[in-house]
Amino acid sequence: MDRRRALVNLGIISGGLVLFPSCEFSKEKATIALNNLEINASQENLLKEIIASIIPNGEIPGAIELKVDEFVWVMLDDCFSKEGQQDFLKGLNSFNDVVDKIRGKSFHKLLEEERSTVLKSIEEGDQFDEKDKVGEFLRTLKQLCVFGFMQSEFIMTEVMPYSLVPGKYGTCETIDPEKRINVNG
Amino acid sequence: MANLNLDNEKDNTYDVIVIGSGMSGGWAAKEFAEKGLRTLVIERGREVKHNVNYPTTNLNPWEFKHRGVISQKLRDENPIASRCYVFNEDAEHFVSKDKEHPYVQEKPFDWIKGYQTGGKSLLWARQTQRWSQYDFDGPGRDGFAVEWPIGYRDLAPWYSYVEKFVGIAGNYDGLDILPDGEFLPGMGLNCIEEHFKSSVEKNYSGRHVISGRCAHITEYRDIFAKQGRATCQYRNLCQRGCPFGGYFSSNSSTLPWAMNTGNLTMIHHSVVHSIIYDDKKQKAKGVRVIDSLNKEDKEYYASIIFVNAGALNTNLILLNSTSGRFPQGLGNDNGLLGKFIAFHNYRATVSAEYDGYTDKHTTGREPTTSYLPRFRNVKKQETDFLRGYAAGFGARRQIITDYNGYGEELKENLLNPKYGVWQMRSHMMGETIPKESNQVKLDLSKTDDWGIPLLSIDVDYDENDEKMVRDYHEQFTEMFEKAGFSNIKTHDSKQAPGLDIHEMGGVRMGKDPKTSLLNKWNQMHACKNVYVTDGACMTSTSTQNPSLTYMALTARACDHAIKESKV
Repeated sequence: MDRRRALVNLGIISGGLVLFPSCEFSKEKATIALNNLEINASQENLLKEIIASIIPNGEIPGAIELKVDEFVWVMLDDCFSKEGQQDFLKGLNSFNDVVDKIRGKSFHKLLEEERSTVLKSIEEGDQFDEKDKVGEFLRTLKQLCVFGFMQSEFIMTEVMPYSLVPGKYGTCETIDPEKRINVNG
Repeated sequence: MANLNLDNEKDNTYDVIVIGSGMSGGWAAKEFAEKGLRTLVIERGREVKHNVNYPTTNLNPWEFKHRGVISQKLRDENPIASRCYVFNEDAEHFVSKDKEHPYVQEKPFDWIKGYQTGGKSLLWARQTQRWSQYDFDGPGRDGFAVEWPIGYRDLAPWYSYVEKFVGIAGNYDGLDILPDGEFLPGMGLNCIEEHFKSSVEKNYSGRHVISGRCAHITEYRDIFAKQGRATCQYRNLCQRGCPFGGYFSSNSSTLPWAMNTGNLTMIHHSVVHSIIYDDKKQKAKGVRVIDSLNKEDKEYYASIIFVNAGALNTNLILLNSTSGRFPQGLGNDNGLLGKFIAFHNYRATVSAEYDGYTDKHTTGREPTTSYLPRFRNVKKQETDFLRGYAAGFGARRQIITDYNGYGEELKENLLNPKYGVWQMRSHMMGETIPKESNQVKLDLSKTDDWGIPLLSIDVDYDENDEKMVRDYHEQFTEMFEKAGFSNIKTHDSKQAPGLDIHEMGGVRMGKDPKTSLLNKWNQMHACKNVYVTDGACMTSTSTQNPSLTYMALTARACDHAIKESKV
């Protein structure tokens, strides 16, 4: 279901305008090698920071430990329309400006809790100019992040094991209420 | 020079030529090779060897670069193939790409193709319900198309013959409308499906719910072990090719079996241009083939030719096989070749929820579905539309994940989903009425990469189909209501014909050469050494998934051809 939902969501990303690259970003090359997109190190680092706040590290590894940031770039690079890519990057590039408007400082300087709050208000808020695409960017990023996290090897082996060879189909099994519900079971 | 040609002719001569290696072609290969006939199978696509060329079969979800999602480039290049439900990262390599073989759409038609060893038998949904006599009686009783030249009794022993080799999981349901076959243990219904079954059978006479009979091995038999196939492991990743051979495909079963006899030769990358007719001998003498890689022409010869190219490509080959005797295409004296195309109407679905059995769930993955055989107009005409529909359906316990929040809150939510209600989803499989206006023909103004005219497809729904969609929606809504389901939602995808991947007809069987192309043995009336046993031969479609019937018809026709060649 997660995968299907992500698919649907990816398909409905709407067309956008032209990408205005922000002059703030350095020309330093990103470490990830992509086929289509050209991104720089600042964009790569900022995305990493946002992703780290969406699903933080902890006892169970978070999105960065599970390299979800790399997955997000690969998906954006290979599975998005040109318009979708432009909107995403536009949102990323305007992200810190919007955060600055709300909190008076950049995302980098916020505490963990403040970050969650600001992300929530960006996701829900329509107070921002539609042109900056930040809300749309964040909602798309969150979907990709959740998708990549839930479909990571760690989650699918250690937390909610996926069985490549189940061996049987249980038609009517009694649920063990003590056990974590496995979306891959 | 003359001698060289003679040598060439001798080298390229076989007892039988089978065009196509899919579901029915694989069966022809097996039957002929097993009986000692030197058999040539011509496949237009690349080679896909069982367990050698299944690149994704043992990959875990996280091992796919895009976790199953098709890249934007592939989607943009393949609007038609992208609509097919198996066109995902794990199996897209088995679905032919749009540019590989263009065609003309007079009306929207999604032609899904699998150009490789085994064709679409690698990808099929594996449902194997038999036809009953009520299905064969359709056209004769209701006055459409032409009467079938055969009935259930003609095909029943061949159904059994095929089922024993294929391996069919199913329960003995004892229904006259859907005859039992040679079954291995059935896969079973889950608790909600059982609940629905008892409600339907209590509230309606003549309506039944069964576990869909499917081409999966559920119990050991020597015959499967001899094929190198093991029991189904409930991976439900069939479209990748199965390393266990748990489901039936030509690749895992009939083709290696035929190869082991030493009598089979298989060539790939070989597009059949036409069948060569010998005016003097008044029969077909061989096949003209174009090598798809170097575009060279080649000819192969045989005294028996089986055309199993897949329904529409079989029509294309026959239409393109013109000669002095047959200027409109091979065997096409009556001008009906390419006409009376039909398919299955898969547009409609109904979903519903059931709030109960809250302490139950399913485990593992189910590779079949529950099935409700046709109940409309089975024994007599009851509605204002002709024929009826079967339905597949399945229930699963919903798992709800809360995607709200950021940070620790989101992470907690993701890792602690909750059970929701049971969800049921049903899909309609409607019989469409073969009509002369639903047809394919050659577009002589356009040719493909091999100089063959493009197939122009002119197929559409009609008012009968619309009425049937409405009836299916009404009846399933009512059945779900009576069974205590809620949140019942009907949907009509309006998908184009073709996406059902059950296209049939164009070279139909019949009793009379004036109104049909093939006789009761699937032989062309006007060219007896050419047989058509794929979907093109179908006089009507009924509602069952058709592959099992193609396989049985093929085995029966092979038996006839072998007996006739010995006379």
